[in-house]
Amino acid sequence: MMSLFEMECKKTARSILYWVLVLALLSVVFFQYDPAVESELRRTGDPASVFYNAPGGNYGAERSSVPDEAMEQAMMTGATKLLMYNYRSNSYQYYPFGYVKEKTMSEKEQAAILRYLTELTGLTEQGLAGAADGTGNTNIEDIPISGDGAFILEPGKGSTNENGQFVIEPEDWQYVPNDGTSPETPEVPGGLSDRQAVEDEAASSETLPRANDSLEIQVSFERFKEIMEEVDRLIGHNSYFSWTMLTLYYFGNDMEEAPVTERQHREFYEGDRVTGAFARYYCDSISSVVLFLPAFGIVDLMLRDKRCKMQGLTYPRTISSAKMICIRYAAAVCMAMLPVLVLPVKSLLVLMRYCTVNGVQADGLAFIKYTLAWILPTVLLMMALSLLVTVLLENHTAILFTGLIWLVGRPSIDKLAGGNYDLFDLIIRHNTLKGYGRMMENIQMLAWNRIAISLAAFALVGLSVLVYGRKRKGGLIFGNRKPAHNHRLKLSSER
Amino acid sequence: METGNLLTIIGSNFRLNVKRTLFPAILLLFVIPLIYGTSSLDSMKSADCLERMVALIGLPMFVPLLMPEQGGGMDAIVTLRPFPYRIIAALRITLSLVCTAALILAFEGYMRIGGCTFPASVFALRTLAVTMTLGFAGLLASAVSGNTAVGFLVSFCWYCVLQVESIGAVFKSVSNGISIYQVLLLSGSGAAILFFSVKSVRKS
Repeated sequence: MMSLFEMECKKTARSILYWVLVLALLSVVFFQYDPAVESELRRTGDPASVFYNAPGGNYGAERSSVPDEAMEQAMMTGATKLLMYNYRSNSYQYYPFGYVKEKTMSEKEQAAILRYLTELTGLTEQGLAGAADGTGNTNIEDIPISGDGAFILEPGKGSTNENGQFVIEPEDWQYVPNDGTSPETPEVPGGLSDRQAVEDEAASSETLPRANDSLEIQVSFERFKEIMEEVDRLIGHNSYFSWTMLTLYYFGNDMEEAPVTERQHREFYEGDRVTGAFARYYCDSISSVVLFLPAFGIVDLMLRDKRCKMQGLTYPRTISSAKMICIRYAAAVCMAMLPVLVLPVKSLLVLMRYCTVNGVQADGLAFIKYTLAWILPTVLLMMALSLLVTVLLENHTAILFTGLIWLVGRPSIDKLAGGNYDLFDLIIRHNTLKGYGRMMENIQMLAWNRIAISLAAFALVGLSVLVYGRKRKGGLIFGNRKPAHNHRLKLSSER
Repeated sequence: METGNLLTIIGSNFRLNVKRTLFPAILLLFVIPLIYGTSSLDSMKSADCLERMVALIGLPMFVPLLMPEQGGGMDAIVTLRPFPYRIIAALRITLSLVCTAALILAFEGYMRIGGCTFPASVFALRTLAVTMTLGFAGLLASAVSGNTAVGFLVSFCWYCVLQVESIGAVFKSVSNGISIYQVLLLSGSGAAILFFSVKSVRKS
């Protein structure tokens, strides 16, 4: 059995597909993950860095799990304004599969939205449609966040980050009112803003009311939440009005550049023991690659018999179908996981050295633990799916099938920060070095998810064994194709 | 060559490849509205939909074109035929091109019915260019390696690379127009495909 396993591993290693997978993983690590590690290590004195050790224990202010009134008000105002804008243009965005979709409501649905807006704002239909103040701006290109103007980006604004990507910070945007007055100090456009900007916006709206800008919310926060839930149900999964998205945008999240709090500092050094956070980030970086590319390896391995016309020789062999399929599957999985386990070694050594120099206890097995727990089940499932489809159809359909799964299976925005797990998530995202506590709060669902994915993979492998066994005996023939060995037979191992 | 023979060659090549090219491409086009949203898009968002989603049909439409002859034992049969295999490869590429253009126009029609506003004819040509770029990358890899799965993988990796803003901007033809680099790339890769197509048969 070991010699067959070694043989299948060697066959996989000789395939150009395998090395393209290695190259893709290498590219992700080289261009995305390693620069992130180096950047974090270079700024250990920055209060926003996870490594930051504050003198005297003066860390960033802890964001209360219970939002205060100012944050609630900012959320209600911002969400209501966005809903008003969407209502005017009858265009509502949502993210069912990680890509934005726009929905146009029917008359009945628009009437429902109008009722909710009237309840939220106390304005009449005319007031909401903007007819009273002569605006009624429905230009999709402009995004009026407050008042009647728009945020513009002037040439020369923006900057380049260390990875060479052009980034636009919130303060680069300039607000230009529609009434011809001069541009004002830029507000944070209601996106991933920090808490201070939210508080400033809430405060400024009280002290400097602008024409057509004052919006009094007429309902309590609890009723607002109920209305938003109804609106989200009308629009579709993961609209901007879902509770997850609202909290992500208005209550802050771990992905934003904010000073670390004492809790985050403790979680990083005591919970994650430094390397755990980077192991999670590594798994997040390669998750998109492992959702699709490993499928190529198993497809190529299984189709080699057909390509070399070896089925007539391999089918009658005494080896059982279970052994044949399981060994090939195990070989393909092991070879796919090999680069996944090896590539982060460099960053692990760098982190361990940093920890040794600074007298911090690190977890040397963090990368192995996270890779096996987070990445391996996904690889198992995608390879099992490809195996079954390839064994059944004996062509490259599995590649297109897993490609479709890659298109629809990528998680949406609300899962990026991690901690928000569902039972059948194909990949686990955690796009931040913080958030250990959030992960641990939902560790049960995460564990069930990984177990469910793994069990599904093994079930598919079992099915593949059955299908392969039938094919060897001359069954499951599609169209007018003859069986590979041209007659029905009973294998000696199965008599 | 007689017209009848030419039609026979066209027909047989079409029948040979229709299941592995046209059917998956049509299936993909049916899936796109479910995941991306193709109604009431403006010009910019329509361009984004066309070059990020519709361009993916380049994978099933072009990459498997050389697969029938990549099976073992075909090299002798292909080599002994008097009719040049390169012409067959060019014919298949042309047929796929025509079918791809038809699919793009059909999908644009669907988008227009759904309320999208964009210049259909201009975007159709640009989308065809993006689709061909994606498909030709994979087809060239398939021809060089003699393995269709390699072609799919290279096309997919190329697609992922194009999503990076700094690199992909040159090849975002629908949004930014067809650049001279893209024309050169398409011409070069087309010529390379025809050159290596014979070698791919010999390699298998």
